[in-house]
Amino acid sequence: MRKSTTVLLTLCLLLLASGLALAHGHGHVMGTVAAVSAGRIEVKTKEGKTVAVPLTAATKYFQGHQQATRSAVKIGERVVVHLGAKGEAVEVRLPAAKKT
Amino acid sequence: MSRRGRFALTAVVVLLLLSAGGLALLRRGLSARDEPGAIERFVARQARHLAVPREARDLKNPLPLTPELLAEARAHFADHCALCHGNDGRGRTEIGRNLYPKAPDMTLADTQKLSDGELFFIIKNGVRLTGMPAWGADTPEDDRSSWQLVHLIHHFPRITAAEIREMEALNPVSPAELRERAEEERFLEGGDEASSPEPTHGHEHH
Repeated sequence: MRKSTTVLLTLCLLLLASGLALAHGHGHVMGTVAAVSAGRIEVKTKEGKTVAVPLTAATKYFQGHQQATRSAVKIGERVVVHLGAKGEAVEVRLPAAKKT
Repeated sequence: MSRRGRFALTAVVVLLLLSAGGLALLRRGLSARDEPGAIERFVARQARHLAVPREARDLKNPLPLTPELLAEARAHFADHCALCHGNDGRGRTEIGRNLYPKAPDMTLADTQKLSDGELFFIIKNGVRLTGMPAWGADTPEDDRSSWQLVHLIHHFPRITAAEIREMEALNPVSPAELRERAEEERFLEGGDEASSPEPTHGHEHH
């Protein structure tokens, strides 16, 4: 009885988790960096549109899997920007830094 | 006014106030988005305190605190608990923020002052009328996992960015999210340019 309850609970949680995982994202922007300043990043997408996304103090930057700072963002470089609930950049992902 | 008259008047006033409150409640509805009021918080905390038997409250964590134990606890927490509590234990997640009552910020004194035994009891038995379920079976293995989590909860005020990053890699992900991540990796490594899905926000210009 206890085992079946645990299995049922786990299934419910998994269903809930997968549903939320699908629902949680607020989108992302992929393209190349067209401009970057303290307050925003502009990304040129494949379709030729330029999308401006606000940067905040909470925005996290990653080069590959390494944590980075805004100074790592270079114009012309590929970028993926994950958006938050208010359209702000939550995470800016850049290609891994090249080894010298 | 006679004693009976005063009693009747008081009863009418109380009834009127209750009716007005009930009507306001019906009109406005009840939302889990609301913050519990001070009285409700106080009563809930007292109820939670009373729900933990004294002998359970006085238990000390039987596991010695080691870096390996904390790493195991982080992996467990990232997989089972972070969905509501967040990897940093602050409850700033979609579910945590919208539960009623909200998932607590476990780095704060309200949680940190709870004894090892209280935290263990809460993990093992859950908290009624909240989003906190009872976790694990009544086995030594599951009890060990819960005691590990007790150590992690007391570690939350000092958790590092590197530890959180490590936990993020262990959070459950849906197949759709896995595909999305793979696509991003490919793109960042110089693969075919992927189209951006229409962003929900962001200011667009040409």
